[in-house]
Amino acid sequence: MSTWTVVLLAGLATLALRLVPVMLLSHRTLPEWLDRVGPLTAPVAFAALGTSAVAGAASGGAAELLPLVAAVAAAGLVAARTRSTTWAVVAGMVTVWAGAALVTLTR
Amino acid sequence: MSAITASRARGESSPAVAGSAAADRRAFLDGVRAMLPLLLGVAPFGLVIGVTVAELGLPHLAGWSLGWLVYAGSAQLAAVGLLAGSASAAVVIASVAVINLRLALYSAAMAPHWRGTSTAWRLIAAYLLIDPSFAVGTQSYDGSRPRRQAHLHYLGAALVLWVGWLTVIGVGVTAGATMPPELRLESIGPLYIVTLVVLSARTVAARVGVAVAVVTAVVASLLPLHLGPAVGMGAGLLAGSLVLRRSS
Repeated sequence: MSTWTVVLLAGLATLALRLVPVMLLSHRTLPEWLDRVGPLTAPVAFAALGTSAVAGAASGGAAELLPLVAAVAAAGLVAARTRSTTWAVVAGMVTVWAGAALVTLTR
Repeated sequence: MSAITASRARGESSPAVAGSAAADRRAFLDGVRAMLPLLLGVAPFGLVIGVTVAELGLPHLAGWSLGWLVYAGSAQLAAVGLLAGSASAAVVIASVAVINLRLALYSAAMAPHWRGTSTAWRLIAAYLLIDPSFAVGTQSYDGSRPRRQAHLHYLGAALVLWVGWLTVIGVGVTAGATMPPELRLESIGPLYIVTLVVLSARTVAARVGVAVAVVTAVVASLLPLHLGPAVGMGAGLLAGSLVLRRSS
């Protein structure tokens, strides 16, 4: 399937999620499990995605993987401390650059 | 002119605030104004998505078009990563649907406010539904405005978000395509995601779900077809909801 087809289908699936309750429900009567699981989806989905993205870097060898793992750890720590997205990403990027420089130096 | 005023007056539920064009305009602009700080907050995320599209080598127009087709940042970022990793269509679409499940909750919450409106309005209003527009939308329909002006308040907020979002993604794609690879800007995506996990996993159930999702996704990264994220999500959601059931 072409990229465009997938993009289009993903868009249609999302539109259905937005549209179906508005069109069908006159009261707030969603299935109970959706109500319960709803708040969990964001953190859990991000966790699975982030992990897969980092695991994907493993194909580039330790030189690719280690700086990224260190950066992810740094960003997570800074996020927990400061609750700031900006500072977390900045700390992560600085770690990536430092890690990459270190890998180049020790080669 | 008088016919327009008359038709507006008829559609107006509260005679105290006569449905004048000035009041309509004010409601719309109030909505725009209410959205601006939120737009400023999500703009960096849009930039990150745009840069990631360019850095991962996705076709620029298709990557940008996720912005108006999916119109949900976290799902867009996921789709970009999965498409670049040549995941199967089913994995991409299932991941996007799981991440966007919450939109069904927003939609259900807005349904009573939009009952009895035209199909065209509900189509547009529902399409524009996303975290920031839902947040402003709850203010739009807090009962302080006549129904028509509540709609316009929501529309002003949702439209400025839509225009702003597509603009920053476009800027990000353009910038990302011109940045040297040594900057490793493709790392911003995973870093952003980790931050979102830390900031959003506040309950015990969410933290258990996150831990299970991480471990499962690492093991499942050995699976073919780029199934890792989907399997990780499924296991994490299951674990999290088991915790919820036990504690309730």
